Amino acid sequence: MEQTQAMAGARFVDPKVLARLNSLELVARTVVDGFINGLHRAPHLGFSLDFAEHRGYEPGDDLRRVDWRLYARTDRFYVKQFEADSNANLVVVLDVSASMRFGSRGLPKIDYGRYLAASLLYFSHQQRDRVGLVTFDRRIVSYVPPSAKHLDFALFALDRAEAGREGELAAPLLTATERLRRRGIVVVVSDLYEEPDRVAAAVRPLRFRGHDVIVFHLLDPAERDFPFDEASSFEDLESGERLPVVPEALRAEYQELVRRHIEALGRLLLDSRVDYALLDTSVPLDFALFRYLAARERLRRVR
Amino acid sequence: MSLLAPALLAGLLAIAIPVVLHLVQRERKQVVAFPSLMFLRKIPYQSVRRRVIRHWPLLLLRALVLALLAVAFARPFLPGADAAAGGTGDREVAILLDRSASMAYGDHFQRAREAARSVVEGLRPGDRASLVLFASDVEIAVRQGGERSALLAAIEAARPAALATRYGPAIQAGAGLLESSPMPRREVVLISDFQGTGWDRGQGVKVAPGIALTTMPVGEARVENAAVVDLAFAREAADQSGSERVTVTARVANRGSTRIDNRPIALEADGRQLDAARVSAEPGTTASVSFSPLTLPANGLVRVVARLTPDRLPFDDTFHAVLASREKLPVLVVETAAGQTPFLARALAVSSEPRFEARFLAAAQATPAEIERAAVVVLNDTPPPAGAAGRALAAAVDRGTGLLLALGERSSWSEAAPDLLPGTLGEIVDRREGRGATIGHVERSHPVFEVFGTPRSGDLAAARVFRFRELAAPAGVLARFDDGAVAVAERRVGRGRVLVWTSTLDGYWNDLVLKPVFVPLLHQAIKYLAGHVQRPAWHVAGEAASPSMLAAGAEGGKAASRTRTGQVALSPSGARLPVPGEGSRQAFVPAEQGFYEIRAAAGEGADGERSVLAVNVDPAESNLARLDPAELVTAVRQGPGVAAASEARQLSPEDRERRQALWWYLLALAVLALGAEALLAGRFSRRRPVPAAAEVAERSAAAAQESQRLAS
Repeated sequence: MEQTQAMAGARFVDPKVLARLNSLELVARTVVDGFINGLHRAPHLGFSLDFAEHRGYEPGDDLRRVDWRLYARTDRFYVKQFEADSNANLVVVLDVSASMRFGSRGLPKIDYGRYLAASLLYFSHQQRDRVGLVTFDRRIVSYVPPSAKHLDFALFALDRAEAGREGELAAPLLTATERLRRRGIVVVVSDLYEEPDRVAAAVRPLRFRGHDVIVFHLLDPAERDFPFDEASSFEDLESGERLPVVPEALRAEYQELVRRHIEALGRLLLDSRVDYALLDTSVPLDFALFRYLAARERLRRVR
Repeated sequence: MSLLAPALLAGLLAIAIPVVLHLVQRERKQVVAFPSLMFLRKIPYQSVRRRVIRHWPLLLLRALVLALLAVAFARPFLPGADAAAGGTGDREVAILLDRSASMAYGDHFQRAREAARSVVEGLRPGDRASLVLFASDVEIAVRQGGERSALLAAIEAARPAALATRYGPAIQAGAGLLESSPMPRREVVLISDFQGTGWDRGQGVKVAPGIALTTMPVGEARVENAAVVDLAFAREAADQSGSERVTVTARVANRGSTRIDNRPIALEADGRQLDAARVSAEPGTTASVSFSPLTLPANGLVRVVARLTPDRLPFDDTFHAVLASREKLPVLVVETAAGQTPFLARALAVSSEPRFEARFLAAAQATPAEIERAAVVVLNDTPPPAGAAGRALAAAVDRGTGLLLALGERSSWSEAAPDLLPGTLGEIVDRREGRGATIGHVERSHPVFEVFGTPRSGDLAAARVFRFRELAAPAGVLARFDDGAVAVAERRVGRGRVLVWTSTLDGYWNDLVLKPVFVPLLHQAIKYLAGHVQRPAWHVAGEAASPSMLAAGAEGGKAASRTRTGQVALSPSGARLPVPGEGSRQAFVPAEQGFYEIRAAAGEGADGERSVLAVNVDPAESNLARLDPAELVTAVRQGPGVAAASEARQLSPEDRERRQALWWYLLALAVLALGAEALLAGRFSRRRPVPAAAEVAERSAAAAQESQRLAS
């Protein structure tokens, strides 16, 4: 118990503090190591070594896979089959559209998304999973195919990722679905500025491919609370459109709309058996890792 | 209160500046980059809402400051205390109470009396008041009395009259009462239904400076009123007995705002109901109702009344008229030989209003009695009768009989003949060469020729005159031939008139008798010579009746056309009123609605001759459309008037300055309001605190709790 309390300070690092670290890898290591050390034990580690079934030997099978003990008992050759692969694919799909540039507390959503992606990739790499990365706006910006050796490439791609253009979910996710042939865990990190049913429709093909999909919905506190005071022209970061707004008059309605949007996203994604988590950029990244692990655990049990 | 520099009030426009700043300035501030306007666009967010003003107290304060500044710079000042009705000191009030016929509508007059009573009861000791009852006339019921009881009694005794409304004379009379008043406050209080027809916008009523005009309207916005506004008579030819049949048509106007539907209307003659009908009319329209014909007795008068079922304004629901049989005008034509000119006989036979009763006699047959009886004598190409008949003619003309002379070959005027000719008779002028003479100049303003005064009403110059008698007339020439010779001349002899036509009326010397102008010209000349005036069937109450309307007797003839002196009129309410005779400076003004009976006063011959005058309310009084009292007050100008009282109170410079010092107070108020504005603005512009570290800590704690839960 004492150990847990001692490490708690290291685990829940304010993302603003992480922002001072220059290296993404360092960020990821700080987060993940703190996270792992904080756990008493690691009951969730090594889930890729599960035995699945036996199959009759066929010419060409690797002799190392023959279950000799069984041969001793039955006098027949059987090959031991394990769960698809002992290590899973983790692909982080990060939204780098212009709207991700927003940040009211000094930490833009894009940075928070990068830290989150880096942490997840690093953490999975530690688990000997294959890691890959897709960044997209209205189309795929960069693609690092999942591989056990691609963490560096993925971190490099993350490092270079910049939010700039208008975004869209459906088209790039469909493209990504087509590329990710092997089933794995797909983590979508986006601010999801689309109608909930369109978001669900965009994510669903990934699910149809058999991926386990986790959607992290990134929002800045200002996007939820709308704390603006002065009547101003609000400029859409993506389209550049401007709208004169008196925040005081609209705040309640805006908050209600956002609340309903989040609620609808949760409901629709749950219906599609997609895990959904809302992440506030003021919340430490560990929280996201917990959500990831909890989902991962649950998925393992369902299987 | 007045302003020294009213133009500076334009500064009030500056009040718009804070509003504009409120609405425009706020949106010019910084641009906020926001990830997506997706949610903002969904909010039903109208530009109107965007322009809603948030801080009303602030805006009102700023507007107040600007208004105070603008008014202060316009330099308001209080006029002399004597001019202000709301000032201090004793007060003199002239209460003008409208008693016109329209005030009889519903409870208008009752309300007007109550208003007048409230003014009287509001008088303080030392105040004085006059009561002026007005309609088209003005009656000062109580003059500058301080007695409240006398005023109240006069108000109680007032009744609406059948007269039209005229505001101008009443206001002038009211102001006139106050002009010489020494009281410091003078006020005219006008209590009326403010009927629009009573105000003549161009009449320019002025009251002396310092007299305030206060209005107390008692009318209603929506009214319902139907009125009989006219009666028309269609006469049929007299039968053998001499009586005529007349069809009466009543015109009913709906002056209200709702339709009248099948309203009963009855026609009465001499108090008996002759016929009844029903009438319907849309608002703002008129409808006509014709009754079955009634028979007029020869030489008689019938009092006709069209009576509509009474509505809220009963005055205009009855309409009175006097229907008389057509007058007869005896005309005596004296010729050398009776019947020598068929043109004259035919022209006189076609008369209608009045009817000419022509007698044609040879010169020798003309007797004094015949001459006495005639209203007009025509000497057609014949010398004047000699002897007794001649003297009778001269006497008759002197009394008022008309004389028409047509000069011809046989005309002559001896020295012994009566002096009736308008000039000296000369030789025959022959103009047969060429196209003959034409009438070149005519006095078209003369009653005989005025009917030809308008274009296309008859061409007198079409007649060709080949011969005529020369006449040297020093004066009274009404028409001349193209060579300047006299064609028509007139002369007045005593009360009678003499007209001379210097040619004949037989078609030999001229072709005038063949021209279309001949018959009307002859009729006009006969009517003029007889002094005939058409009697109207009714008279409007409140207007002076002309002597001809009051002429006693309906039997016609020359005697009927002159008003006798010493007549009295019996009003519909039974009062006996003296009727001023002809030539009197006074006029007879009937004020009641109904039939006035004009008869000779007792002891004045008492010949039994009577006349009846039908009097109706002015049809304009039925129109209850209202006038805005403010318009009337604005139109009444403060004229120079009699300013003796106010001139006596010349203001000292200190006093004048004191009255203009109002602007200092306004400026002080503006400064105070500015201070309040600064305070208020400071409070409103304070930003609300933005959620920061505390909230982050709170969320972190929540996340920690969840991670603990998951880990366990």
